[in-house]
Amino acid sequence: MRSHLDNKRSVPSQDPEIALQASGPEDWVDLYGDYLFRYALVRVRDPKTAEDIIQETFLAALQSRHQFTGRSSEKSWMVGILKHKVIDHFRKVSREFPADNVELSTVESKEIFDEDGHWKLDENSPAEWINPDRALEKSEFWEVLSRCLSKLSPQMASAFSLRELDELSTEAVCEALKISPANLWVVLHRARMQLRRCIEIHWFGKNMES
Amino acid sequence: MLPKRIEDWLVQNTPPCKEVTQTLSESLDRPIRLRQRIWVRLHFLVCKWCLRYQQQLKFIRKTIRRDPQNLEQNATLSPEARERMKSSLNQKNL
Repeated sequence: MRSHLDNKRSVPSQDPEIALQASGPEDWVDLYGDYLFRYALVRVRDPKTAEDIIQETFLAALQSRHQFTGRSSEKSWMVGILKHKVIDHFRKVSREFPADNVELSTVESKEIFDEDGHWKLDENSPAEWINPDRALEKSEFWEVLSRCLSKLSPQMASAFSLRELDELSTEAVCEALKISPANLWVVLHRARMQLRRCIEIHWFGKNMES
Repeated sequence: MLPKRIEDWLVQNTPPCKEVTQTLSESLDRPIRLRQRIWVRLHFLVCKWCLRYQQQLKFIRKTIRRDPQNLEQNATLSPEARERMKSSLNQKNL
Protein backbone atom coordinates (compact mmCIF):
# COMPACT_ATOMS: atom_id res chain seq x y z
CA MET A 1 0.00 0.00 0.00
CA ARG A 2 2.61 2.39 1.10
CA SER A 3 5.13 1.64 -1.58
CA HIS A 4 2.42 2.04 -4.17
CA LEU A 5 1.67 5.55 -2.88
CA ASP A 6 5.34 6.37 -2.63
CA ASN A 7 5.73 5.44 -6.25
CA LYS A 8 2.94 7.72 -7.24
CA ARG A 9 4.46 10.54 -5.27
CA SER A 10 7.78 10.19 -6.94
CA VAL A 11 6.26 10.81 -10.35
CA PRO A 12 7.42 14.31 -11.23
CA SER A 13 4.49 16.63 -11.60
CA GLN A 14 4.18 20.35 -12.11
CA ASP A 15 0.65 20.42 -10.85
CA PRO A 16 0.58 20.83 -7.05
CA GLU A 17 -3.02 19.53 -6.90
CA ILE A 18 -1.99 16.23 -8.43
CA ALA A 19 0.97 16.03 -6.11
CA LEU A 20 -1.34 16.63 -3.15
CA GLN A 21 -3.83 14.06 -4.26
CA ALA A 22 -1.15 11.46 -4.26
CA SER A 23 -0.06 12.20 -0.71
CA GLY A 24 -0.13 9.40 1.82
CA PRO A 25 -1.69 9.47 5.28
CA GLU A 26 1.76 9.91 6.80
CA ASP A 27 1.87 13.40 5.24
CA TRP A 28 -1.63 14.51 6.17
CA VAL A 29 -0.77 16.04 9.53
CA ASP A 30 1.93 18.22 7.99
CA LEU A 31 -0.05 19.08 4.89
CA TYR A 32 -3.47 19.80 6.37
CA GLY A 33 -3.13 19.76 10.16
CA ASP A 34 -2.86 23.50 10.78
CA TYR A 35 -5.46 24.42 8.19
CA LEU A 36 -7.99 21.97 9.59
CA PHE A 37 -7.12 23.05 13.13
CA ARG A 38 -7.90 26.69 12.39
CA TYR A 39 -11.07 25.71 10.59
CA ALA A 40 -12.25 23.68 13.59
CA LEU A 41 -11.04 26.15 16.20
CA VAL A 42 -12.96 29.03 14.66
CA ARG A 43 -16.09 26.92 15.12
CA VAL A 44 -15.66 25.02 18.38
CA ARG A 45 -13.48 27.64 20.15
CA ASP A 46 -11.67 25.15 22.36
CA PRO A 47 -8.19 23.93 21.21
CA LYS A 48 -8.47 20.55 22.92
CA THR A 49 -11.86 19.86 21.35
CA ALA A 50 -10.59 21.04 17.96
CA GLU A 51 -7.62 18.64 18.20
CA ASP A 52 -9.88 15.72 19.04
CA ILE A 53 -12.13 16.50 16.12
CA ILE A 54 -9.20 16.65 13.72
CA GLN A 55 -7.84 13.36 14.97
CA GLU A 56 -11.26 11.83 14.28
CA THR A 57 -11.28 13.48 10.87
CA PHE A 58 -7.94 11.96 9.91
CA LEU A 59 -9.01 8.51 11.05
CA ALA A 60 -12.30 8.77 9.19
CA ALA A 61 -10.39 9.91 6.11
CA LEU A 62 -8.09 6.92 6.42
CA GLN A 63 -11.01 4.54 6.58
CA SER A 64 -12.87 6.02 3.64
CA ARG A 65 -9.79 6.74 1.56
CA HIS A 66 -10.91 4.36 -1.18
CA GLN A 67 -14.00 6.54 -1.64
CA PHE A 68 -11.96 9.61 -2.43
CA THR A 69 -12.44 10.08 -6.14
CA GLY A 70 -10.01 12.87 -6.77
CA ARG A 71 -12.75 15.03 -8.21
CA SER A 72 -12.08 17.61 -5.51
CA SER A 73 -8.73 18.31 -3.94
CA GLU A 74 -7.73 16.12 -1.06
CA LYS A 75 -7.88 19.17 1.18
CA SER A 76 -11.49 20.02 0.43
CA TRP A 77 -12.38 16.34 0.76
CA MET A 78 -11.01 16.46 4.29
CA VAL A 79 -12.74 19.73 5.08
CA GLY A 80 -15.95 17.99 4.05
CA ILE A 81 -15.31 15.21 6.57
CA LEU A 82 -14.34 17.76 9.21
CA LYS A 83 -17.58 19.68 8.69
CA HIS A 84 -19.57 16.57 9.56
CA LYS A 85 -17.45 15.92 12.61
CA VAL A 86 -18.03 19.48 13.81
CA ILE A 87 -21.78 19.07 13.39
CA ASP A 88 -21.64 15.76 15.31
CA HIS A 89 -19.86 17.61 18.08
CA PHE A 90 -22.48 20.38 18.18
CA ARG A 91 -25.25 17.80 18.27
CA LYS A 92 -23.62 16.21 21.29
CA VAL A 93 -23.34 19.62 22.96
CA SER A 94 -26.97 20.31 22.18
CA ARG A 95 -27.99 17.06 23.88
CA GLU A 96 -25.87 17.84 26.92
CA PHE A 97 -27.12 21.39 27.31
CA PRO A 98 -30.76 21.27 26.28
CA ALA A 99 -32.38 24.58 25.45
CA ASP A 100 -33.65 26.20 28.64
CA ASN A 101 -36.45 28.71 28.58
CA VAL A 102 -37.79 30.19 25.42
CA GLU A 103 -37.26 33.82 26.27
CA LEU A 104 -34.33 36.01 27.11
CA SER A 105 -33.67 34.83 30.63
CA THR A 106 -35.22 37.10 33.23
CA VAL A 107 -31.84 38.09 34.62
CA GLU A 108 -30.47 39.09 31.23
CA SER A 109 -33.63 40.90 30.35
CA LYS A 110 -33.82 42.89 33.60
CA GLU A 111 -30.26 44.06 33.15
CA ILE A 112 -30.98 45.37 29.69
CA PHE A 113 -34.61 46.54 29.60
CA ASP A 114 -36.82 48.44 32.04
CA GLU A 115 -40.26 47.31 33.15
CA ASP A 116 -41.88 48.62 29.99
CA GLY A 117 -39.43 46.71 27.82
CA HIS A 118 -37.47 49.77 26.73
CA TRP A 119 -33.68 50.01 26.81
CA LYS A 120 -32.37 51.06 30.17
CA LEU A 121 -30.39 54.03 28.99
CA ASP A 122 -27.10 53.06 30.58
CA GLU A 123 -24.00 51.22 29.42
CA ASN A 124 -26.19 48.37 28.15
CA SER A 125 -28.05 50.33 25.50
CA PRO A 126 -26.34 50.36 22.10
CA ALA A 127 -23.83 53.17 21.75
CA GLU A 128 -22.80 54.62 18.44
CA TRP A 129 -19.96 52.66 16.84
CA ILE A 130 -17.63 55.05 15.09
CA ASN A 131 -16.15 53.81 11.80
CA PRO A 132 -16.75 50.12 12.44
CA ASP A 133 -15.21 49.13 9.12
CA ARG A 134 -11.86 50.55 10.17
CA ALA A 135 -11.79 48.06 13.05
CA LEU A 136 -11.63 45.18 10.56
CA GLU A 137 -8.09 46.14 9.60
CA LYS A 138 -6.84 45.81 13.15
CA SER A 139 -5.77 42.39 14.41
CA GLU A 140 -6.63 43.46 17.98
CA PHE A 141 -10.25 43.84 16.91
CA TRP A 142 -10.32 40.25 15.67
CA GLU A 143 -8.83 39.10 18.96
CA VAL A 144 -11.62 40.87 20.83
CA LEU A 145 -14.20 39.31 18.53
CA SER A 146 -12.64 35.90 19.02
CA ARG A 147 -12.67 36.27 22.81
CA CYS A 148 -16.28 37.47 22.78
CA LEU A 149 -17.30 34.43 20.72
CA SER A 150 -15.56 32.17 23.21
CA LYS A 151 -17.73 33.57 25.97
CA LEU A 152 -20.97 32.34 24.43
CA SER A 153 -22.53 29.37 26.19
CA PRO A 154 -22.01 26.01 24.41
CA GLN A 155 -25.59 26.06 23.26
CA MET A 156 -25.39 29.60 21.85
CA ALA A 157 -22.01 28.93 20.29
CA SER A 158 -23.25 25.85 18.41
CA ALA A 159 -26.27 27.58 16.97
CA PHE A 160 -24.36 30.75 16.16
CA SER A 161 -21.52 28.89 14.52
CA LEU A 162 -23.74 26.81 12.24
CA ARG A 163 -25.88 29.77 11.30
CA GLU A 164 -23.23 32.47 10.87
CA LEU A 165 -20.04 30.64 9.96
CA ASP A 166 -21.46 27.76 7.97
CA GLU A 167 -24.45 29.80 6.81
CA LEU A 168 -26.83 26.89 7.23
CA SER A 169 -30.55 27.64 6.94
CA THR A 170 -32.79 27.70 10.01
CA GLU A 171 -34.14 24.28 8.99
CA ALA A 172 -30.68 22.77 8.63
CA VAL A 173 -29.48 24.14 11.99
CA CYS A 174 -32.62 22.83 13.72
CA GLU A 175 -32.10 19.45 12.11
CA ALA A 176 -28.45 19.34 13.17
CA LEU A 177 -29.11 20.39 16.77
CA LYS A 178 -32.50 18.71 17.14
CA ILE A 179 -34.22 21.85 18.40
CA SER A 180 -37.34 23.71 17.28
CA PRO A 181 -37.16 26.85 15.11
CA ALA A 182 -38.71 28.96 17.88
CA ASN A 183 -36.00 27.75 20.19
CA LEU A 184 -33.26 28.42 17.69
CA TRP A 185 -34.41 32.00 17.10
CA VAL A 186 -34.30 32.75 20.80
CA VAL A 187 -30.88 31.17 21.22
CA LEU A 188 -29.54 33.20 18.29
CA HIS A 189 -31.15 36.35 19.66
CA ARG A 190 -29.43 35.83 23.00
CA ALA A 191 -26.13 35.06 21.34
CA ARG A 192 -26.26 38.23 19.23
CA MET A 193 -27.35 40.34 22.18
CA GLN A 194 -24.42 39.11 24.26
CA LEU A 195 -21.90 39.28 21.45
CA ARG A 196 -22.88 42.82 20.46
CA ARG A 197 -22.53 44.02 24.01
CA CYS A 198 -19.18 42.28 24.48
CA ILE A 199 -17.76 43.84 21.32
CA GLU A 200 -19.01 47.25 22.34
CA ILE A 201 -17.51 47.04 25.82
CA HIS A 202 -14.16 45.65 24.73
CA TRP A 203 -13.63 47.50 21.49
CA PHE A 204 -15.94 50.33 20.57
CA GLY A 205 -16.33 51.58 24.12
CA LYS A 206 -12.59 51.90 24.50
CA ASN A 207 -12.00 53.26 21.04
CA MET A 208 -14.89 55.69 21.08
CA GLU A 209 -12.75 58.83 21.39
CA SER A 210 -9.86 57.94 19.14
CA MET B 1 -38.15 66.53 14.22
CA LEU B 2 -41.49 64.85 14.78
CA PRO B 3 -44.31 66.79 16.41
CA LYS B 4 -44.40 65.92 20.10
CA ARG B 5 -47.88 64.43 19.83
CA ILE B 6 -46.84 61.94 17.15
CA GLU B 7 -43.63 61.10 18.96
CA ASP B 8 -45.54 60.29 22.14
CA TRP B 9 -47.99 58.19 20.20
CA LEU B 10 -45.17 56.18 18.60
CA VAL B 11 -43.42 55.64 21.92
CA GLN B 12 -46.67 54.35 23.41
CA ASN B 13 -47.88 52.27 20.52
CA THR B 14 -44.91 50.73 18.74
CA PRO B 15 -43.66 47.45 20.24
CA PRO B 16 -41.19 47.78 23.13
CA CYS B 17 -37.43 47.52 22.46
CA LYS B 18 -37.33 44.10 24.05
CA GLU B 19 -39.65 42.81 21.36
CA VAL B 20 -38.08 44.84 18.57
CA THR B 21 -34.62 43.43 19.27
CA GLN B 22 -36.00 39.89 19.03
CA THR B 23 -37.67 40.74 15.72
CA LEU B 24 -34.45 42.31 14.42
CA SER B 25 -32.52 39.17 15.24
CA GLU B 26 -35.16 36.93 13.67
CA SER B 27 -35.15 39.03 10.54
CA LEU B 28 -31.61 37.72 9.98
CA ASP B 29 -32.93 34.16 10.00
CA ARG B 30 -36.32 34.25 8.30
CA PRO B 31 -38.67 36.55 6.41
CA ILE B 32 -40.59 38.88 8.74
CA ARG B 33 -44.22 39.79 8.13
CA LEU B 34 -44.83 43.15 6.47
CA ARG B 35 -46.91 44.36 9.40
CA GLN B 36 -44.08 43.62 11.81
CA ARG B 37 -41.59 45.33 9.53
CA ILE B 38 -43.72 48.46 9.45
CA TRP B 39 -43.98 48.57 13.24
CA VAL B 40 -40.21 48.23 13.51
CA ARG B 41 -39.73 51.08 11.05
CA LEU B 42 -42.10 53.28 13.04
CA HIS B 43 -40.30 52.34 16.22
CA PHE B 44 -36.99 53.46 14.70
CA LEU B 45 -38.45 56.96 14.34
CA VAL B 46 -38.43 57.31 18.10
CA CYS B 47 -35.63 54.89 19.11
CA LYS B 48 -32.11 55.40 17.83
CA TRP B 49 -30.87 52.57 20.06
CA CYS B 50 -32.87 49.92 18.24
CA LEU B 51 -31.76 51.37 14.93
CA ARG B 52 -28.14 51.11 16.08
CA TYR B 53 -28.85 47.60 17.29
CA GLN B 54 -29.96 46.59 13.82
CA GLN B 55 -26.94 48.16 12.14
CA GLN B 56 -24.59 46.51 14.60
CA LEU B 57 -26.10 43.06 14.17
CA LYS B 58 -25.69 43.43 10.43
CA PHE B 59 -22.11 44.57 10.88
CA ILE B 60 -21.32 41.54 13.05
CA ARG B 61 -22.85 39.17 10.51
CA LYS B 62 -21.00 40.74 7.60
CA THR B 63 -17.71 40.71 9.48
CA ILE B 64 -17.86 37.11 10.62
CA ARG B 65 -19.11 35.74 7.32
CA ARG B 66 -16.58 37.56 5.21
CA ASP B 67 -13.37 36.70 7.03
CA PRO B 68 -13.94 33.93 9.55
CA GLN B 69 -10.33 32.79 9.22
CA ASN B 70 -9.21 36.10 10.77
CA LEU B 71 -10.57 34.84 14.07
CA GLU B 72 -7.76 32.32 14.46
CA GLN B 73 -5.15 33.39 11.97
CA ASN B 74 -2.14 32.38 14.05
CA ALA B 75 -3.34 29.13 15.57
CA THR B 76 -1.26 26.04 14.88
CA LEU B 77 -1.39 22.48 16.15
CA SER B 78 0.83 21.93 19.15
CA PRO B 79 3.86 19.67 18.54
CA GLU B 80 2.37 17.11 20.95
CA ALA B 81 -0.97 17.00 19.11
CA ARG B 82 0.91 16.68 15.84
CA GLU B 83 2.90 13.71 17.09
CA ARG B 84 -0.16 12.07 18.59
CA MET B 85 -2.05 12.33 15.31
CA LYS B 86 0.87 11.05 13.27
CA SER B 87 1.40 8.03 15.43
CA SER B 88 -2.28 7.13 15.51
CA LEU B 89 -2.46 7.49 11.73
CA ASN B 90 0.62 5.28 11.38
CA GLN B 91 -0.80 2.63 13.65
CA LYS B 92 -4.07 2.44 11.77
CA ASN B 93 -2.38 2.58 8.40
CA LEU B 94 -0.30 -0.57 8.86
